[in-house]
Amino acid sequence: MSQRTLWKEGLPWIIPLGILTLWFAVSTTEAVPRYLLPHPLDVAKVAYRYIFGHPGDQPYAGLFLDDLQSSLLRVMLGFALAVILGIPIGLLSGRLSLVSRLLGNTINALRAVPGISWLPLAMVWFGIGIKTTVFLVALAAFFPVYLNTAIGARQVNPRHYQAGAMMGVSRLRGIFGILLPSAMPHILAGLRLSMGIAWAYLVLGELTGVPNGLGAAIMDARCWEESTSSWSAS
Amino acid sequence: MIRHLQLVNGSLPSPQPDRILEIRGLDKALSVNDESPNVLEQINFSVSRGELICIIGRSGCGKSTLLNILAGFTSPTTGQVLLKGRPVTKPGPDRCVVFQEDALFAWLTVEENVAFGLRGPKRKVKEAVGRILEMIGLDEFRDCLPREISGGMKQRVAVARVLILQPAVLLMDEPFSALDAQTREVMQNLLLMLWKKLSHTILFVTHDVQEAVKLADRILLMDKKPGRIREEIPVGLPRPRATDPWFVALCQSLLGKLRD
Repeated sequence: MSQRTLWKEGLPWIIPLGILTLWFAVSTTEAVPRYLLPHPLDVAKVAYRYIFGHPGDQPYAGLFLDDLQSSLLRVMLGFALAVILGIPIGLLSGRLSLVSRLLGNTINALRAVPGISWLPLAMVWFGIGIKTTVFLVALAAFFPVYLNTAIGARQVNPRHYQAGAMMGVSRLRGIFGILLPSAMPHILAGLRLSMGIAWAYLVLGELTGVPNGLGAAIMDARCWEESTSSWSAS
Repeated sequence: MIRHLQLVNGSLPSPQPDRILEIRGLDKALSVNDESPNVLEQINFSVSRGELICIIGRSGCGKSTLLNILAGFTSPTTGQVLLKGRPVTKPGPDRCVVFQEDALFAWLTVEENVAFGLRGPKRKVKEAVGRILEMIGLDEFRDCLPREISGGMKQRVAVARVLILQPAVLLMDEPFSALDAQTREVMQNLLLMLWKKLSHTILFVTHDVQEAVKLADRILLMDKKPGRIREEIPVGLPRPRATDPWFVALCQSLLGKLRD
């Protein structure tokens, strides 16, 4: 590898490697007590057994795949709900100022409420379990999708609508053939943002006593003072 | 002077019974209670099948508004537009527009843009698109996206996607103003070539006097505030039109009139 390629490819890794080295150094010299900062090798060992081990080897051994599956399911359901609601409402809102003005205040108000304050409410409504998590994820993921879709729909060049009209396209074609493709870059940006938020809220949703899942593993392990497992689940 | 041009070149405008487009008593006001002069006032003219009409006027005289009304994007305050005898109310493929700025769909290729308005079995559409692309000389670029081609090429695509629908009247709103001088000339020649081949009716709005004299069968001179048609000037010069003394004289006369 040439000098320049090494530099170009290696640059993003300097900080992560630096942090890892620092971690090793601090743990080995026991500068920080073990229960606050587990040794990286310990975390690695636990993680290994979390993924590949057999039940009984250690707490949470071999449960990784199950947990991952449950978490993924919840995230996907919540995200799908947000998208199914967010995109059509967003398109309507961007296209028709009446809708946008109608929904504006309500949506801004809802958005201002921090996700965590929905948690107790959701638990009362949906109990402990998958429904709460999906609700929280969907609620948080809705806003980026809706807002970005609305912006995308609003900035469609009016000439495009005129061109479509003069070429005699039907209303349906106008939506799927002109509005949607025009707004697509914004919609995709909204989806990406939303995905990130969905994962964050997944953990929030799982902190509340769902039987399995990665977030649950983090919280559970904390209860049993298995901070190493908490770290590896993270 | 203008009348001499017709007689000298022996191309008197013959009686033209086939009026494809008629505009009667068209008014367009800014708003209902506005006291200021109408945007358009008492516009009356007709266009015969196969004619190439140019509308010239200074900026702000309402030529684009007139075109929007003809296209059906907006409606007049009073008056009527009749296409083949029937009133025009909304946009449609019988009156297509080529805009000044390109309104191509950025996410579709040249071929897909041209095919957009055409319905029918896939094979036939592809053939029709192929023929048009060859006619306008963009056959090799059929798979390019609009951002990959030049301004002149984009306008060619804009013309192609409209011609393929075989409109009764082709409306053009300063389509070549945004192009550089050489490209503009190429496009004007292209337009004339296509017109000769396909003999459709064209209504061409421009502020460029030379362009109007080069292209038009008849020139409509528009005033501003209120927007009204001051004069109709037939151009009897044979095509192709070189910049000979008659051409120049007509241009000077028109420029003088626009200046008033």
